[in-house]
Amino acid sequence: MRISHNMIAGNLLRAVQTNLEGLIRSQERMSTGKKVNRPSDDPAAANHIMTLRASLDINRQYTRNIDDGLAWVYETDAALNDATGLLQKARELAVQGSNGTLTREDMAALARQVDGVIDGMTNVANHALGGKYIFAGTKTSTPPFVVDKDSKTVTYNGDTSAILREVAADFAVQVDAGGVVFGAAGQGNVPDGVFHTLFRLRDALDSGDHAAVGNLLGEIDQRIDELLVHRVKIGSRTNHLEALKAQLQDQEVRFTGVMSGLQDADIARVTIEFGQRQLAYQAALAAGARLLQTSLLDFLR
Amino acid sequence: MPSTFFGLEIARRGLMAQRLAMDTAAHNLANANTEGYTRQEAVQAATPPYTIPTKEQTVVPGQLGTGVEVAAIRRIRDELLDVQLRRALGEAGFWEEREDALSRVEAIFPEPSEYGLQQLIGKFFNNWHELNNNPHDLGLKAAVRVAGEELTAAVRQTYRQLTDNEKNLRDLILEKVNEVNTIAEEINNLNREIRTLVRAGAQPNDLFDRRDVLLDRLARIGEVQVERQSDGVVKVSLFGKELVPPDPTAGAHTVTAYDAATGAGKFDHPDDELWLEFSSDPGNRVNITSAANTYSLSGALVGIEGARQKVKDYMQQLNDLADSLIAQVNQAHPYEENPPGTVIRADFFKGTGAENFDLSDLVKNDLNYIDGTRALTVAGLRDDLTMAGGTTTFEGFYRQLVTRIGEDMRGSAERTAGARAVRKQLENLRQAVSGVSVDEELTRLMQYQYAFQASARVVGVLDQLLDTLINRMAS
Repeated sequence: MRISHNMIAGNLLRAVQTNLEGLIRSQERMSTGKKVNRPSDDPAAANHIMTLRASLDINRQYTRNIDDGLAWVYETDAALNDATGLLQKARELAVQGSNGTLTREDMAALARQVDGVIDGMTNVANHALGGKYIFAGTKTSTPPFVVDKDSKTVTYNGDTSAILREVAADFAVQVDAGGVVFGAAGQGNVPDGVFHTLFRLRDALDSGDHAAVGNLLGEIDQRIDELLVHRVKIGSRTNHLEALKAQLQDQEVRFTGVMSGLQDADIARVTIEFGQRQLAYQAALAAGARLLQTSLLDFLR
Repeated sequence: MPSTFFGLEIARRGLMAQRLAMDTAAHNLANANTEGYTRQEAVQAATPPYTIPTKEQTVVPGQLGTGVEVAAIRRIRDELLDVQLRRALGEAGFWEEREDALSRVEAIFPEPSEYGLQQLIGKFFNNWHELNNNPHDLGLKAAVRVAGEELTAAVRQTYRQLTDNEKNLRDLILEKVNEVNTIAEEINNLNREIRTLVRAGAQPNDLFDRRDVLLDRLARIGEVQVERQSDGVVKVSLFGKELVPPDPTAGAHTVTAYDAATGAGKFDHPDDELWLEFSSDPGNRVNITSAANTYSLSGALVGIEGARQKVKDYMQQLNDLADSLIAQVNQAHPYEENPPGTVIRADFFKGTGAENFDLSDLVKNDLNYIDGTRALTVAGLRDDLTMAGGTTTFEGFYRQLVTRIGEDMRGSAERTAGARAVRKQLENLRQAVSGVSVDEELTRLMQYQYAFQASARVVGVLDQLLDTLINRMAS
């Protein structure tokens, strides 16, 4: 092939340009530490990276939701534990009260203790977590239970909606136990429940009726069993949430690993690549510089 | 017998011819870096020999040489290579312009990163989750609103940048059309000059070069066919329509960009298709848009139009995303008024398409219109298959868009590299034939110089000879 001077210059320019382009690519990878810096670098990998990033992002949110939900179930479980304790205390009082040797005054003193249990139970029913009442359904901003010991009425101001936390895609877990724990089937007057059992115990003690007090023992046991059912439910949700959390944490580690593999540049490899390209670039420059300087003119007198 | 001074005449012709050859070499050297210059060669040929008219023909054997002349100044060029190269230029023009345009579009989407739209979509829904954890917290409602503002602003901004890009590409197309007209006119003018000179028996090499440069430029813009006529004029067709007529007297034809789809309007709206109307054949416009979509024509003009169609497609995707966000979030977000149970619609978003995608006025002005009790429903939309006919999520849809942009860009870049390699190869081949080699010209220069010196020497010898003959013999 016949070679013209324009060809030499043009080829040199192109070679330098190509090498420089590769050099800049390597340099970008080295300085950002990433091999996919724009979608066109590797569209499929870019898609994967974005998917993983979104998954990580939403998993973190799910983790936060689970943490929030766990606070609820822990708190609910603690409250139900308190309620059970109070009922057990009421049962002890009932056992004492059913003893036929007690005087009427002794019975009245026990009745006052039951009043204390009712107050304690009211506190439990209106228990709040960070300003939110946990047995109020979704009406968390107002105390749900109004207990009138004298007229023996209980009014529920909450609702029956569940407090839900989305903890996985399209999967929400109820994290409260609801007013139903204390017998509330809906907003308004509560017809029967834990409180009414306590009212009956107090009244039986006040009236000094040993037999009536003794008869209430079975009802109290039943209430304790009912609470246990709720605690079991909450407990199983707690287990579920904790398992999900562990799963999400495990996923985070794996996803981050996969993403790093897709996205992060292998520094050793990029460094070697950079070196090779630098060499090619310098070689192109050196060869060009020598070739362009040489001309027949150098050898003519 | 030839005349006494016959030898002097031969020497003179030699001097003239070598002189001319040296001038040609000098011209080549001077134009070593001129774009499109074709090296020239002074073709030296022996002048017609002299037959001595005597009766005794056998006394002087054969004919007598009469010296040298420059028969022509030849332009060394391979026209077949020109045809090939022009095709390669069109292909390279197509992909280069397309890559150039798409790389600018790709830069609008800062992905994969923590600053792209996907992150904002995620953040928006995450804030709804947070609101669900505390449905009445005004601070969290404010956070939801801020995330909504960020998301809508980013979508609008991205869309506006795409719009700007589309507008730029449309302007670029009109610029190219203008360039075609300018080039056509210049070629026609050159045709006229060339025809005059060729008819006068001259060979206007440098005008040919200038015309070929223009033809190359035209070939990069669109598909050309060039027909060379015996009078030196070239007839040029662009996209199969006559652009430069065979008779240069009347002037070149013109090209205008039209939008045939909306009834012969000008090409001035994003939705317009690009149809080129040639004044040589106004009835049959060339549909560049469909050619760009089917890759059936080459050239920068088609490449730009193809990129423009892509940009419009991306704009449409962004519109779909915004429309779906508006519809779905608004649907999931009623607002409960007092008295309880009276549900009134309080839209969260407003607008149609990405262009005016925004928070609704209610939400913008009053946080209380953000419905915390619906937070879980809104947050749940993130995982719902809301897009593309119920096949993907918001984020998934956006990811597909980004991936498609990446694929389009990567494909164009690869094809550009390929087309460039072909063009480079052909350019080298053309340079191998037509390019100036300084070493070669210098060698020629020396060769001619020695021939010149030799002819001068002949003059000297003849001078001595005539001196002897005329001055010495008479005395």
